[in-house]
Amino acid sequence: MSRFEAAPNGGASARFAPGEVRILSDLTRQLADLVEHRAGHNADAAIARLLPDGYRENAEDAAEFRRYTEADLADGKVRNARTVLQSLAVPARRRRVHVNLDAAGVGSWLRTLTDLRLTLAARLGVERDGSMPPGTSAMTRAIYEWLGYLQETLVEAIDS
Amino acid sequence: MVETLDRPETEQLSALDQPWVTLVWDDPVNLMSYVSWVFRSYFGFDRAEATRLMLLVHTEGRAVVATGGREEMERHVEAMHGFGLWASMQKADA
Repeated sequence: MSRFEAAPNGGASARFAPGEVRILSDLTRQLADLVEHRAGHNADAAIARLLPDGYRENAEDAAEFRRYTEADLADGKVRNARTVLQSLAVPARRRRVHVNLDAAGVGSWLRTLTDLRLTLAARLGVERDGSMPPGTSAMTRAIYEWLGYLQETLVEAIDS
Repeated sequence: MVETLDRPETEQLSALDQPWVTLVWDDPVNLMSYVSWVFRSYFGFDRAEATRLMLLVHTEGRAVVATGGREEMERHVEAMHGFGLWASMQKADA
């Protein structure tokens, strides 16, 4: 299971195995598509969490805030996801992918890892205490845990 | 609260109004280390203050992370949503 390490330039780096690159790329592509082609925040629990209401006590204020901010917020999430995809895109014959991130890249990765975990959690119905519903497959659990591990090690890498 | 369509005017009057607050809410997904990092990198809090607020979110279910004018709070909430934190704004409790 790959992880991020601190890099000399103040950024972070990681080496991903081909299977890891495939999983990360697939999920990130799906995230970008989901946000870009969203139907509406009422129709999808994942979108509702990625683009939440800015006001909880007043539906009119919430709707106005959404009109002002949602497009930019969604564009930013799609851009970050595309940045992650670019850093994973390498010639196919390479066995492993070495990702080197500067500060801007770290920002995109941290946000996208968050959005991936929020999306998975919303789709799976993760409980308030963080536990997963009983029917969740071992593979899905492992991927969710790994995304969290990647994020934890990325925060550590830039925080030391 | 004075209701106008003209936002700048609203902002001028906001100094006389009740302040607004930005709240961050607990969720079962975001990592404690990440939330703390967001508070430091975006708001510029030192490590102790960022950790205190992060723990407050975790234990109390929410924390006020900023207080001020309405437009400033809207910018903060939008930024928090950009980081994937669950944030909202409301008038400060009287």
